[in-house]
Amino acid sequence: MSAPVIEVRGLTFAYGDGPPVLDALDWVVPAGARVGVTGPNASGKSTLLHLIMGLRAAQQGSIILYGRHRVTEGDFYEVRARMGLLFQDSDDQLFCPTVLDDVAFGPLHLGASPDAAQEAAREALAAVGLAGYEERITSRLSAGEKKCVALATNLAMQPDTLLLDEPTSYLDDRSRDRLLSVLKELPATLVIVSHDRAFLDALTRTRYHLEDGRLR
Amino acid sequence: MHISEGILATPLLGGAWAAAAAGLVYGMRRTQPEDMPRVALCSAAFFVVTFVRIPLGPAHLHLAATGLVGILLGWRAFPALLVALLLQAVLFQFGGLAVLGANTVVMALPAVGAYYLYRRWSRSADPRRIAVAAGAVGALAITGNVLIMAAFLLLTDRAFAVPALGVLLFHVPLMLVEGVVTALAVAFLFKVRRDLLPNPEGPP
Amino acid sequence: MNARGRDPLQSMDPRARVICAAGLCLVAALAQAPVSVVPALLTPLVVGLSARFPFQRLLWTGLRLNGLFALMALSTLPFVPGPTWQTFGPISVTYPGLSLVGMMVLKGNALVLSCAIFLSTMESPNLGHALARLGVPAKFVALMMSVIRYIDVLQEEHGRMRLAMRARGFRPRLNWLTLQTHALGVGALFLRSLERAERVAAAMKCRGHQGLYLATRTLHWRRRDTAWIMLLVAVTAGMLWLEWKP
Ligand SMILES: Nc1ncnc2c1ncn2[C@@H]1O[C@H](COP(=O)(O)OP(=O)(O)OP(=O)(O)O)[C@@H](O)[C@H]1O
Ligand SMILES: [Mg+2]
Repeated sequence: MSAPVIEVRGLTFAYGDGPPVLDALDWVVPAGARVGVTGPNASGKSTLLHLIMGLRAAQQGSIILYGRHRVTEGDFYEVRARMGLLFQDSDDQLFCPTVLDDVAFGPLHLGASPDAAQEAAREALAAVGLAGYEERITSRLSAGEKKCVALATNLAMQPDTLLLDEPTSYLDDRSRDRLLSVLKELPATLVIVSHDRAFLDALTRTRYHLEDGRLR
Repeated sequence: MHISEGILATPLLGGAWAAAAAGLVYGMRRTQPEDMPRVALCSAAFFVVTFVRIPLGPAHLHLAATGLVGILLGWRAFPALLVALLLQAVLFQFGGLAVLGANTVVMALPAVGAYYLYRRWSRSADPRRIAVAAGAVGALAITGNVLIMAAFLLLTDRAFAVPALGVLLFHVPLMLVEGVVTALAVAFLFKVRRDLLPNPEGPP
Repeated sequence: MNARGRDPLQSMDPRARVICAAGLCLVAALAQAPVSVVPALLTPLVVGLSARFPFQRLLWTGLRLNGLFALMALSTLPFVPGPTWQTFGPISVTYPGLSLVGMMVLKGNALVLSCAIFLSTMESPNLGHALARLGVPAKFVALMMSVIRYIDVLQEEHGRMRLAMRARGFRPRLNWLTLQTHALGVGALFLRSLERAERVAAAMKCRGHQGLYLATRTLHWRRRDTAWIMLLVAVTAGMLWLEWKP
């Protein structure tokens, strides 16, 4: 049996001098699992995902990903090549002039040639139903379109683990159904943070609830 | 990129303050109330960008983006840059109050030059020509910044020839970096919202 | 914050701070002899010590500044002509050279200290209020206040953008791709700034096209603020006396 994808021990984190958002949190996500995370607003769900990606540093506790302790920025480079994060706010995630630039950014930085990166980007866009959007200006898309582009930026990197922060917000029924089928087909470990119970029910069997800095 | 306190001669500090004040007044006059947010946000963006570090072997360079600010603001770069430099002096002790005038002249004069050069060279609808024009302007703006800085050092004391030369040489990589960054950033804006860039046919 | 106002800096009127900082800087900048810089250097030092200013905060600034001065001294001293003070091998250090370097060190530290002690210890919006009440044109103060307001917003926006880049495999290195990515960041930051400026301008119009929003704040000038000004006058007089004493 392979090591769990995510293993978190005693994770404690606070923003600046504020109160702890996460308080000695323990969590294990086995490889291939599909888990849902719920919790009230401001309970620290997004924060937890950012910590796992190494985008912020925890004050205490250990983060073990793919069986290895991850501490330094260098440790996380390898993780980010395999693990994708769909940001809650797509405006945080998208920063390139056009859709194609944005989706190709990840593959390019993982060492793909420009041509290969563009090819991967086109495929990912097609998968989320945005074929033909390549030359559109990212900042002018609608909120739902941005969400789909943000998902494509992740798919283009062919992650084996995907962390999704509120994937269904802003999506209409059609886009939501497409997202559902894309995720169902995806051969990846999934962590889905969502307030959308029906969506979680359709995709995940295990459910965690984050409250008072702990998961249960 | 800034001159530290204590280095420049007193008359030079005074003269530079006078020049900066003149630029400030002229720039403020050309700022209509509805332009204020644009000037303020470009100033804040400049402030943020100057903290970006580009690794260069064992050392690193800080971006300056004076060319870009100049292209976007023209004469209003004087108030924008003076405020940003004032806040950097107060909050982080980069530069200082006495040398603020000199630092403003160092940064803003080439920025204004960048504006007029860009207008002259960007009469084209070809994104590639726009990018090349912006790149040249960005590199020239930094060159101007560094030359004024070196001139201030030399005017203070001939003995500062070696530091002045050092300043010039140290910033050669930055000229290239700024050229590339300005070119790509302007190309970005041109692609996405070309109406935000100055119109070469419009009034200055 | 010291409610009882025992901390001499915290209880100081922002206007008095600005006057003291600017005045001390003027004094230090005008001094032409090393000895007449001393009052402008000692004043912020003594004030800082008595106000328990956390000087360790200035450690890095001090190292940076004086490290630069050391470099400047090394590269300058051999080239200043004049009567020789001492020779080190082929290099002779002259009296004018010593005075040039000495002035640089004294003035630089005096100027940076004055600014740090009096201005960096207050919330930056107070700087705007003080300037407004000291007669600086409202338009300029409004500009400064908006810049202060938006630096935080943009810094956060830029920070989130860097997170997003890192999340997608960006690692800063010495290569073309890194440079391109930085340019992308700069372009995106300016685009977002300019677009935000449009929204702010629109919001301004909705509120009646005022353009300037300055909530004037009442500041309380107290007797001890006048005492600060007296101190500044004394330092200035000291500098002038040292400069021209017979
Ligand atoms: N950049 C930040 N700086 C300071 N505090 C922050 C920051 N980001 C989040 N917080 C605080 O941390 C806490 C947890 O925030 P987080 O975004 O992780 O919550 P969340 O569970 O994702 O909420 P939501 O359901 O609204 O998305 C909140 O109290 C929030 O105010
Ligand atoms: Mg959240």
